[in-house]
Formats: sequence, structure tokens, C-alpha cells
Amino acid sequence: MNCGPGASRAGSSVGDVRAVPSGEGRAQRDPAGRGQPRSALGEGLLALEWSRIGMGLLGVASIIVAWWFAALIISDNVILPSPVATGRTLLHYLTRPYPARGLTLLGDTAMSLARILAGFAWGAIAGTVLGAAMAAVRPLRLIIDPLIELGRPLPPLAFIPLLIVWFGIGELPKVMLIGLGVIPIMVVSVVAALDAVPEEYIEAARSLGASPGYALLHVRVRAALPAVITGLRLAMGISWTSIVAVEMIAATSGLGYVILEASNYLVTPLIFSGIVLIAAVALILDGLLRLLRRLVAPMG
Amino acid sequence: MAGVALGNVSKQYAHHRGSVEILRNVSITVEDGEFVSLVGRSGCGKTTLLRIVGGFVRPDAGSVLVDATPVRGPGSDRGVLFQQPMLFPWLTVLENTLFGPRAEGSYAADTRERAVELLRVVGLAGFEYHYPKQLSGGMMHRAAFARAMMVNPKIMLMDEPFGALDALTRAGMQQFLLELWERRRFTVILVTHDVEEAVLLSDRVAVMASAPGELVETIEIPLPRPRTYDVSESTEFVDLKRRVRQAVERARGGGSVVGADHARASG
Ligand SMILES: Nc1ncnc2c1ncn2[C@@H]1O[C@H](COP(=O)(O)OP(=O)(O)O)[C@@H](O)[C@H]1O
Ligand SMILES: [Mg+2]
Repeated sequence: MNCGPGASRAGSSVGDVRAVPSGEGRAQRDPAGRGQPRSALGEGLLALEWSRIGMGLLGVASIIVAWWFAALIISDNVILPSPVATGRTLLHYLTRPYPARGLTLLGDTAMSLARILAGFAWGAIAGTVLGAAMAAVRPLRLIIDPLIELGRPLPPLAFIPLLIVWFGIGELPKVMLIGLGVIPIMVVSVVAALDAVPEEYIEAARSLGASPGYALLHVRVRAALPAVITGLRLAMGISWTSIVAVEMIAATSGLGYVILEASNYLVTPLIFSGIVLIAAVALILDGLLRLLRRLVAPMG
Repeated sequence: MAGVALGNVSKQYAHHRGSVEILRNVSITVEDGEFVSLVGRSGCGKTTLLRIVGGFVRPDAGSVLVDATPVRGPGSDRGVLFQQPMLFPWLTVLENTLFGPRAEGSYAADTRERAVELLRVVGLAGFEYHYPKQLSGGMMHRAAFARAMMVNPKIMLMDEPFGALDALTRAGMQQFLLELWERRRFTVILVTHDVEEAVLLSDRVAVMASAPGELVETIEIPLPRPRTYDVSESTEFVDLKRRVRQAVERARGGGSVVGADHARASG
């Protein structure tokens, strides 16, 4: 009924209503680029993006320079290898196994990454489902909230010995541990994200003809997405803490293990290589999540 | 007929000291195509009343008829506009406008064309692909208007829709609403703090008292139609404004402690 030719006529019957001028002119002249034609806006954003990347690189570069100076002054490869020495070691062992072991640095990185992704995935799914259920069902929230609050201050690492006793030293306890760290963060983020969606969004949608289910999915969940992705970023950070710790305690592969081994043999450049690799992979994963967030919230 | 008929509507809300009576025996009939404003001190229950008509809140007692049919929940026959435009920030202006047809499954071959036309009518031609954040306050409100009009509501429920705008933009929006309404004559219930706005736009102004919210007076606004902003300089207009203001003064309710508290909280 709303889309028939009658409706169309009704639409055009007000076609000659004078448009109110307030606002447009302002938007077009707005120096921040709001209301500019799309392409100009895109260029503006791009320029902003490049300057952001530039500043970021500047920060990294100054750290490396500081590191370099410190290494020059100390000039002891065991205490502080220079960036160059570290880079050489990193490149060397990237594709060659370290003498005492079977894996290359690339292999160890892949190992850690696989554990992270598996643990992060199940933890994120479980945490999101739990958080969504808590946001929807009040009694559930009242029951689970205290548990989360109780469990949150406990460092996931405290559970490592227990997980080893229960699940051995295979992959299962590691993946379990990562997930256990991710769950409370996701529960808290998802509940907060869904709670923060203004009721008026839902009411607007319902009065536009949306069913409760449609409004839930296309408005409440959709509006919560950016904040949920921010939660994923936090959870990803915790995942790295968990994996490196557990690899130092109960593993024979992975970057955490490499770092511990290198320290046992006093091969400090390899320790640094492990740290640099963790930073690089973590940065890439975080970048992907940031990209996802950008896609989901086009204007920030 | 798409009028609204409220009969003895009452509403209480639970409160830490028991329950608070928000609305008491509110009865009002808004004719099809009529423009009625609701004025009263903040906290007197105007929003609650509007939400009851919108189907978001169920009254404890009384009847709510829209188009002679009892209200069972929200629906696209009643458009709502809030103080904030509440555009969906993840959608462009055009996509926001298309939300209704998509949601209710009425999207047809000419829907997009109709949306573009409606955006032109509200003065947003050329802004179809902008995101809400890229618009000024007045533009956002007009986009929200277009979004609401897309599903052809017979009744518009507006809760202080221009309350957050600067004076100049607000005047522009009032003019805009006046012209749109003169053409389409949908039924309007407008909640406003602004006595001048109520007199300028309405056929009738209903005045509410607070604690509990009761309709105490209804003032006819017999200013000629079509109206423009110029009417606000006539002596007739000024007289009407005074009458409404005095009615609001008289309607200052009992002012129990709880009531005063609420008025402050939501004011
Ligand atoms: N969901 C609610 N629960 C409890 N009290 C409410 C609720 N909604 C509104 N109220 C109370 O009802 C009274 C009337 O509110 P409202 O209808 O928003 O008034 P107005 O729009 O006239 O300012 C206020 O005292 C407010 O605190
Ligand atoms: Mg209100």
C-alpha cells in the first residue's frame, strides 16, 4: 500500500514545498569537510589517514633510533643487541631452524598465530553469545554478572597449571586458556555495547514498520557492532599475553617458547627477534580489526 | 479517518517509594488531519502520553484508538520524531530513507526514486550519499522527516523535535513543517515546550498539568490557514500566545515532592 502509484503521487504532491535553507549553506562551506561532495571528502580523509600513518611511523622510527643509541653505548650483544644485529638474526632464522630445534621463526610464528586464532575464535564466539544472552535476559545477567566480576581480576595465567593437569600439555590447554581470557572481555563489551543502543533507535525502526526481530537484528545488533569490534581488539591483546605465557611454561614451539629458549642460551638477538615478531603479528591482527571497524562504522 | 482518540488514559510507574501516577484520566480526540500541540511543564507526562499513542508504552487503564482501532503496539501508520533525529549512523541519508520500505517489505521498483524525490522536497538533494554525521542539525531533522514520511504515516508523533536546535534553524524547521503539513494534512500530535511554536503550528493546543499529568485545558487556535511565519506578528497571535502561557501557568499541578523531583530530573 505504501509503495503504490498513489503513494508516489502523494510524494510528488508536496514537491513544490519550499526547501528550508537553514543548514545547507553552512555544510557546504564547512571547513572540516562535512557536507562536501563525496570525492573531496574522500581526499580529505585520505590526507588525514596518511598523516596518521606518518606520525605512527615517526614514533616507531624514534624508538628504533633510541634503541640503536642505547646499543651503541652499551655495546654488548648479550645485554642489548643493536637493531641491525637483531634484524640479521631475525632474517637468518626466519626460514632456517635454530640449531637446537626443529622449527624456523616463521614456523613458530605460525604456531603461535594458529593457537591465538583458535583460542580467540572460540572465546569470542562464546563471550559474544553469552553477552548477548545476558543483555536480552535479565535474570541471566543477574546470575552471570557476579561470576564475571569475580573471575575478571584473576589473571588467566593462574589457570595454566590447572589446565595442564586437566588437559595435558597438548594444544587443548593453550587454546582453552586463550579463550578463557577472551570470554570475560567479550561478555563485558557485548553487554555494554547492546545496552548503549538508544531505545529511540528501536522505536524509530518499529514505527517505520520493522518487526521486533528486524529491529533487533538491523538496528540493535547493527548499532552495537562498532563497540563489539572494539571489544575484540581488547580481547586480542589479552590473547597475546596468554599465549606467550603459556608457551613459556608448557610448550615446545611458538614465539613464547623461542624467547624462553633464546634466554636460556643467552642469544639476546633471538629474544628481540621474537618480541619484534610478536609486535608485528599483533599489529597486523589489530589493523585488520580496525579495518573491520572502519567498514562497520564508516564515519567513526 | 486517521484520528486519535484517548479515553481516560491512566499510567503509573513503579518507583522506589511505591508507584507514581504519571497520567490521570487523560481524554482527548484528535481529528483526522488535525494539528494538535501538547504543552506543559517538563515531567508532566507529555512524552509518556505520546509513547502510549505510539504503542511503545501500554496504559494501565483507558482506551487508545487510532483510526478507530485499539493500539496494540508500534506501527508504520504512526511516524515518530524525537528531539534527536535518531538517524542510523551506519547508513547514508538515502539508505536511512529507504529503511522503512525495506523493514516493512514494501520496497518496490519506484521506492528509491520516491526517496530521492522526498529528499529533494526536504531540501537534501545532493546529500543522498552523505552520512548523518556529515549533516548539520537542521538537515538531520529534515532527513529524519523524509525517513518517517517514506512509509506514509497517517499520524506524526513529534516529541520536542526542534528542541535541540538553535533559534534560527528552529524557525526554519517550523516553517518547513508548516508548509509540509499544509500540503499533506497528516494528523500531528506535537509535544513542545515552546508556546510560540505551539500557537504558530497548531489547530488546537492542549495544556497539561503535572503530578499527576492531566489535560486541563484545550485552546483553539483560529488563525487562518495557510499560515506563514508572518502570522506571529499579528495581535491575534500575541493574544493567543498569552492565553496559552496563562493556561500553562494555571496548570502548575499540585507539585508533590516526588512530582517536583521528577520535573527537575527530566527538565
Ligand atoms: N520508564 C519509566 N519508568 C519510571 N518513570 C518514568 C518512566 N518514563 C517516565 N517516567 C516518569 O514519568 C514522568 C513523566 O515523564 P515524561 O512523560 O517524560 O514527561 P515530559 O515529557 O512531560 O517531560 C517523569 O516524572 C518521569 O520521571
Ligand atoms: Mg518529554
